[in-house]
Amino acid sequence: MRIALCLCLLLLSAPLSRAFSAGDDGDKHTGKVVETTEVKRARPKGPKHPSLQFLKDHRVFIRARLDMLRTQTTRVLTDDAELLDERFLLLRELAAAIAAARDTVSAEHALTAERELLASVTQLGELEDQLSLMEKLLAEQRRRLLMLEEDFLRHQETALVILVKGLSDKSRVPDEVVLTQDNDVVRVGLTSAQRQSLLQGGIAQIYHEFVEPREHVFVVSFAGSDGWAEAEPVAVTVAAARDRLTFLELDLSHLDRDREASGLLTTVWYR
Amino acid sequence: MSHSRFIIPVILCSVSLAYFAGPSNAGDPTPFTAYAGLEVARDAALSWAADAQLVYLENDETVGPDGTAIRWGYLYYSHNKKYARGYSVRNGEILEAADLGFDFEAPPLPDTWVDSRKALIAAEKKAGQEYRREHGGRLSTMLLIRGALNDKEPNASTWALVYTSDTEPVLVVVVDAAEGKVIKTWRG
Repeated sequence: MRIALCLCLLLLSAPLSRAFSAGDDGDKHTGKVVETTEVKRARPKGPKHPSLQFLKDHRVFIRARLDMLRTQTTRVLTDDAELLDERFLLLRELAAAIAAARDTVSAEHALTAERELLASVTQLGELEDQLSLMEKLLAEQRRRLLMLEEDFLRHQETALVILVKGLSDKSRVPDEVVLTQDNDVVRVGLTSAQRQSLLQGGIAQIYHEFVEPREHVFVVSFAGSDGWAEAEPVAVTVAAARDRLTFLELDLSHLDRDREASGLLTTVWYR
Repeated sequence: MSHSRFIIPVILCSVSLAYFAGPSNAGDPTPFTAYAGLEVARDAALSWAADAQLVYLENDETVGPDGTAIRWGYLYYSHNKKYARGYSVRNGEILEAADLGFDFEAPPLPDTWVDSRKALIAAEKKAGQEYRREHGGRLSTMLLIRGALNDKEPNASTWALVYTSDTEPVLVVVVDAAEGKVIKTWRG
């Protein structure tokens, strides 16, 4: 009996392990960030617009003066009550209003279900009142949504979102998009789900970070087993607007790894 | 023939308009005081490091007689990252952002300090104007730092205004950044 059970388990374990390993291969990129450090020789690169020149020229003198200082940090803990952010109270009120509106809608819905036939003109009037109420509730809901959107946009910090779209040729899909800026290299692997979505005309977000509000130059290249490593990298310049969400869309529809300028199309917009 | 009757007045008008408009362009950078560029630099620094603190600033372009310049450089230090990053601000935008490249752990500047205009007025009144007039000098640098230039009160932040001349040693006027009063001057 035991032997039979062991045999059954053995038979089951083989397909199961295959299934797990196939799952691993298919979805290598699970959103986890793996950071590696590589040491390279720095290329001397002078700034386009020299800044803080006096400090750089006299750094020995200034640092010697600073070396004579001693800093002391004092922390004072107070029990003073802090003012609540009034938006928290507003959010609670909004939630209560939404719940009340939902109750009203449920009650009205029950009433409508009960009414099988319009028996009189009076009931027609009631129906009109009911429709007016629904419109009013919808308008209030719209107002609440606008309020939330306005609040969210007002607190927007400078951020950059990079999107890719336009993959149409299955045989020419790169495995990774590589974004290089100064000394930072971000390699974003396209998951099987993303590839599938892109091939069906979808858009994939590959980057979303807070950035400095300035002009950024990303060198975009692609990696893949199918000759992508030799493709010419493309420099893409994007000016991140202060306190706005900047979207950079990379259109890969004309991408050709064999061409010198690989045909990468870009679009920038702000929100 | 009929065309030339219209074209000549149009050209004349354009030439006269260009003459009266002067050499400045709409795209010319606008000079601003050091304090005016602070917010832009701070926003950028905080997106680089949440614990970034302003530790130093200086003019990146020539300072005018009203204490304004078309570009100022702001240096932020992050204790978490253990290095400093500078931001050069022009026309309300970050023109250049770069790591300093050497250790510079200076104490943080306070939130409020007198602006470059007030500091310049004080320095000019005390010694700057005279130095410029008598030695053909000019103001070459304005910098703001805490502790380094005030031996008596190291906790205080000070503006240092550096005047240079082809014939005389350098004149440095140190102005208290809290009050806008000249603390000391020295040559060389």
